[in-house]
Amino acid sequence: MKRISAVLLAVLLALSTAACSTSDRGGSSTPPKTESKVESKVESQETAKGSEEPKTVKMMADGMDDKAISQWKLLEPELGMEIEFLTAPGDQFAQKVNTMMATGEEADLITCEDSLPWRSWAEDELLIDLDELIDPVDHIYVEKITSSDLFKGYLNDGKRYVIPNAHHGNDWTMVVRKDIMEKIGNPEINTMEEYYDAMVKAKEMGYIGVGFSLDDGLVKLQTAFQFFSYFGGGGMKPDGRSFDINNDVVTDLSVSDGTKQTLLFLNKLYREDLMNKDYATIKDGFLSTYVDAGKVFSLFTPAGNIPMANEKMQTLDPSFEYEIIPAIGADRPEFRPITQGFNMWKVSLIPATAKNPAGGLKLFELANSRTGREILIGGEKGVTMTEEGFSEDGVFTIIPENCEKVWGNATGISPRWWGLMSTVYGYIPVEEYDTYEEAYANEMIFSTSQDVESDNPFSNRNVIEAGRPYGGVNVLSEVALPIESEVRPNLNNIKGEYWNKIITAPSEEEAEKLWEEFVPQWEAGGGTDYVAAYQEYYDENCK
Amino acid sequence: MKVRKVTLFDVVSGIVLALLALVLLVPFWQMIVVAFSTTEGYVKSTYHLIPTSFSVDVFSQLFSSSEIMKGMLISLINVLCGWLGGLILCAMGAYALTKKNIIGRKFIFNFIIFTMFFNGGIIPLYIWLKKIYITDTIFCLFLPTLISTFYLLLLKNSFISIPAEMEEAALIDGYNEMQILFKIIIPVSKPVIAAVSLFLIVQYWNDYYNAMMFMNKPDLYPLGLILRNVIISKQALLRTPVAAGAVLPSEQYNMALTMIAMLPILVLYPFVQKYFVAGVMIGAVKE
Repeated sequence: MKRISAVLLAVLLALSTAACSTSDRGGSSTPPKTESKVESKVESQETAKGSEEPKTVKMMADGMDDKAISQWKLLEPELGMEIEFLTAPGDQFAQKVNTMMATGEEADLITCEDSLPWRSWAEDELLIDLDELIDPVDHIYVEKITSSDLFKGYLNDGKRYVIPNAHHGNDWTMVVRKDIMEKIGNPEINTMEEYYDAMVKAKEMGYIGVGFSLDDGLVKLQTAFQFFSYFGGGGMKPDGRSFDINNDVVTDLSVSDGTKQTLLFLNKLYREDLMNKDYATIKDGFLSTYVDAGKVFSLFTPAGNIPMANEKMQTLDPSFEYEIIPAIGADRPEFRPITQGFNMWKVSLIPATAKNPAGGLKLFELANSRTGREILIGGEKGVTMTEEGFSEDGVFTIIPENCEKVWGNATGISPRWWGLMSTVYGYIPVEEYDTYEEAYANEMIFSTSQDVESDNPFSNRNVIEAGRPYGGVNVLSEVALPIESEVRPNLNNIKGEYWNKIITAPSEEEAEKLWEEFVPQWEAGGGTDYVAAYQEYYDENCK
Repeated sequence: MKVRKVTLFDVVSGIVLALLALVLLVPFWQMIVVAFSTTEGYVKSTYHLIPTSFSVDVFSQLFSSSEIMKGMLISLINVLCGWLGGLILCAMGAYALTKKNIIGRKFIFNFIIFTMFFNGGIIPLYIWLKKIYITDTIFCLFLPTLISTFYLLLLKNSFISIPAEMEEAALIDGYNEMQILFKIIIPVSKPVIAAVSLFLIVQYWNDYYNAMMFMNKPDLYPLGLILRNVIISKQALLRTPVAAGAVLPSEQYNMALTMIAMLPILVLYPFVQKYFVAGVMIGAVKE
C-alpha cells in the first residue's frame, strides 16, 4: 500500500509540475522564451497586416503611486496612446521584473536597475534588439544616447538591448554652517588644509568639524565623496566599481594612492575628534542633517534637504543656517572629478513579449524630449503651472496652491520627474549637438520663476549647478560584468574591514601599516582577477 | 495554604523576562512618543522616552490621506475574506479528514501534508493567477493562501478529539454533515477556532507579499504594503543620489503610520489570548 501511495504521489507531483508550464499547448515542453518569441512575432505580423495601431502602452517602473501615475498620464495626448502602469515597491522591483520576465508578462517598456541579468535575457532572446526598432529621425534621443561613447559598455555583442536613463551627475553638495563661519571669522576654504583649519576652529567653539551619516558603515562613504574626490581616491560607490584607465591599462581605485591619502586624512579627523563618531547608530541616511544639525559645522549632503534642515533647526536657533560652498579644491561651485560616473540612472528595455514595442520606444523618446520634460516637471498648464508654460530658457511659474493640492507640496516638485527614464530636471538638447556627450554637457536645467526671482540658493537650478556632473568618467564606469557577483562581496568585505580599521586606527603609523596589509589581501581576495576581467572586457570592447 | 518558596531560578528568569519585555516595550514606547510629539519636540531630541511635547498633527494628516484610508479598507476586506473564507474552508477540510470511511483518506492527507514542504514557487503561482484573471484584483490578496495546511492540521487534531458520540447523537436527531460541522463541531472547538482566527487575522492584516507580487497597480495596495513602502522604500531611496528630488515622509509620519497598522491587532489580541495557548495545544498530545 505504501508503495502504491508513493507512486501515486510521484504521478501527482509530475502532473502538477506539468500544469505549471507556461505553454497553452497541453504540457508541451517548449521553453517559455521560444513561445514568447513566437507570440511576439505573431503580434508583429498582425500589426504589420494593417490592424489598428495599439491604443495602450504598458510601462513598468518601480514605486509608482497614484500621484506619479497621474503626472505621467499627462503625456497621453502628446503620445496618442493610453499609458498603463505596472509597478512594485522599489526594493522588491528586481524580483518582480525577474518574475515577469520569466512568466512572459506583456510590458512594452521596463525601467529597471542595470544589475538585473539583462545580458542573459538578451542572449535568451527575451529582449527586443533595439537596432530593429530605432529610427534615427523619430528616435533621435534614443539613437544618440544608445550610440554614445559614454555608454558603449551597454552594448551586448555590438547590439543595443537597453537604453541608459540619463542622470545629471549629482545634487550632493558641500555645506557649512554660515553662522559658525561668521563666528570663526569667515575663513577662505579652498584647500583641504584650509578646511581642516576651519574645522579645528569650529571644534574649539564646541562643534563637530564634519558630520557623516553612514547607515551602511564606512565602506560606503557616500557622505565622504568630497574627500575621495579631493585626493583622487575611489571605491566608495555602493556598488564598488571605480576604475581608472591610463594608456589602456585598467586599475581599480580602491587600492590607489589617492584612496590611501583619503583614508589617512579621515583617520586624522577621527583621531582629532573632528568628525562625528556616532555614524554607526544613525539609521536614517540623511539624519545627520537633523540629528547633528545643531552641532556639526559642515557636511556633504544632497542639497535638496538643506532648506528643510534650516527651517526645522531655525525653530530652535534662529541664527542657524547652512549654505552651499564651492567644492573644496574646485575653481568654482562644481564637483571635482572623481573618476567614476553617475551619468546614468537605471536602464530601460523592451521585452520580446511586448505587444506594443514601438509605443514603448515612443514613450521613452517623448519623456526625454523638451515637450515631455516640460510636462513631467511643470505639469498641466493652468493647473500646476501658469498658462504661459515654459520660457525659452526653461523658466516656468508654478501655482503653489494647486501644486499643494495636486502634488502634495507647494514648492513645485512634481512627482517622479526624476528616476524614471531620466533624472535630469530639465532637458538634454540632442537635436542641437552632434553627440549625446555634447548635448549632455549643455543640458538645460529648468527653474521656477519664483526661485529665479527670490534667487533661492537651493533651487534645482542652483543646486545642480553646484553639483555639476563628475568629470573623469570612462567607458567602464557604467559596466557591470558577471565577475561582480563572484568576487565583489568578498572584495567589499575586505575593504569594509580594512577601511574601518584604517579610519579608526589609533595612530598614523598604525593606519599606514593596515593599508600595507590591505592591498595584498584585496588582491588575493579576488581583486587581481577582478581587474583582469575588466581589462579583458576593455581590450575587447572599448579600445 | 502552602506558599511556594521563591528560588534563585525564579529570580533569574524573572529578571531575564523583564529585560526581554523591556527590549520589546522600549521601541514601542518610543514609537508612541515620537508619533505624538510636535515637530519642534522631535527635532530637539530625536531619541527621547519621556514625552516633552504633544501633537496629533501627523495623525490628522494620516487620516485625511485617501491613500491610507483606502489602504485600510482594502486591508479590512482582505482580513474579512481571508479570515472567514480560510476558516470555513480549513474547517470543512479538517472535518472531512476526520472521517475514517472516506476512500483514500490517508493518501489525501499525505498529499495535503506534501504541500506543506513543497510547492511550485512564485513563477507558476503568478502564471496561474494570471490565467484565472485575478492579478490586479482584490482576490489575489487572499485566494492563493486561503487554505493553509498548518491551520487545517490544527483544526483536524482538535476535531478528532471530540467524542464520536456527539456526532452520533446529532445524526440520530437528523442533522446532516454540514449541520454537524457548523452547529456541533465548531461551537465546541472555540479555543482552536479562536487561535486559528487570530493567526489568520494577523496574517492577512500584515500581509504585503501577495499585493507586492500580484498587484501591478497601486490603487489596490493594502495598508501593510503602503506602510512597507513608506518605511523600506524610503530607506532604499535615501541611498540614491537623487533622493533630494523626492518629498520624503518624516520619521513622525512613519511612526504614526506604524501605530495605526499595529493598533487593530493590539486591540484584538487580549480578547483571544485566553484561547490562544489552549487552542494551539489541542491535539498536541495523543492519548
